[in-house]
Amino acid sequence: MSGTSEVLLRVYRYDPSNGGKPRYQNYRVPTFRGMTVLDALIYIKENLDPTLSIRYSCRMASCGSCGMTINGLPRLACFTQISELRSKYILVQPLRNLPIIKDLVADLDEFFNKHKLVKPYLIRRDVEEQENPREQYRQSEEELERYVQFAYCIKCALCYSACPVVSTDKSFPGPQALAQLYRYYIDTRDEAREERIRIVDGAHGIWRCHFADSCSQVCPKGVDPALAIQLMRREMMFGPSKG
Amino acid sequence: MVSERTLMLIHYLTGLGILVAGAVHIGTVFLTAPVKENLEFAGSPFAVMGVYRNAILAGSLEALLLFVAFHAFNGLRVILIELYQSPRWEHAVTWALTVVALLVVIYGTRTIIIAYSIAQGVA
Repeated sequence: MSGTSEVLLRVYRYDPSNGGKPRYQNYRVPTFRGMTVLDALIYIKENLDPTLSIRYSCRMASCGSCGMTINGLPRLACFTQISELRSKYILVQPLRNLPIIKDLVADLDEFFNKHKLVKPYLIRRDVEEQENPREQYRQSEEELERYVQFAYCIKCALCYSACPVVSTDKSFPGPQALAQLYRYYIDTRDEAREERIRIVDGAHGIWRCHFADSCSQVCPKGVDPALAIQLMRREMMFGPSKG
Repeated sequence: MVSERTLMLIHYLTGLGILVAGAVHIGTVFLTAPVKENLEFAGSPFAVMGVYRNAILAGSLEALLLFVAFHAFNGLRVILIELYQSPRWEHAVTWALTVVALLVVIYGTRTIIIAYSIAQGVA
């Protein structure tokens, strides 16, 4: 690794298994052009401190594994270049609103359980036919466009971490789950609209969204969960849209 | 039990209702009430009482009272159930606020009826 300049990474360290308290540790990392925060963390792990725990996989913003809080905002470490932060000092913390397994690794069980709660799959009335489909479920381009942007979600939990409602109401499903609810609700191949509505029409359901829009601001894939929530509310309040 | 969807629909509608009935109320008291002599008369007890002479305007005040009572107490319910989560707490909050809202409506309605009766008597 060759580089003429360096950055100071202030990294959150915490190991709940040994009863330790959270602390911050500073690392000086040499930089190179195009270096991402994930590159810097891997450099630390390989050269400075092998005890640092991070989670990553694809390194190309596809898997959603390396979500963390970088300089105060939830971001994907692999999708955040050091140069774009315009600072020689980078604060790296785990995702907010989630328990911590160790250091920068957040426990995503709660997040995925809420995702499962909204039944993120197509449901047909004829289960037998769904198990053994006789033909393709055809869709027009217009029908696809109604939900396709919400299907780009990579389940990185950045929106969940940014949501102010999740931080105060642990029963709130969160923007990711609600956006996925709408994604399947509006899909013309799905036949469980009322069932989906019942899932989120509770005291801690979709109506608790304050429309802070922070979920949409942090999504690395350009998904707009706040829009999905508003569209879903409209469907619930004024009835199913035509078409 | 009323669904959250219905409660929120009423919440939004009462919010709009407050805007309309509130505008009617303020407009009536300050602009169309018997402001004959000067602007100082607007907003005075005489101008307010003048509103109650008209049954429709008195009715709009009752509507305003109902809208505000529902909107305010449902808003408070939403805040309280978000702050702390437990079925028992939510049940207690919902019932307590329903009772308080009803008391507010009863007291407000009584006041409007009394004012309307007095205004009719002095008209």
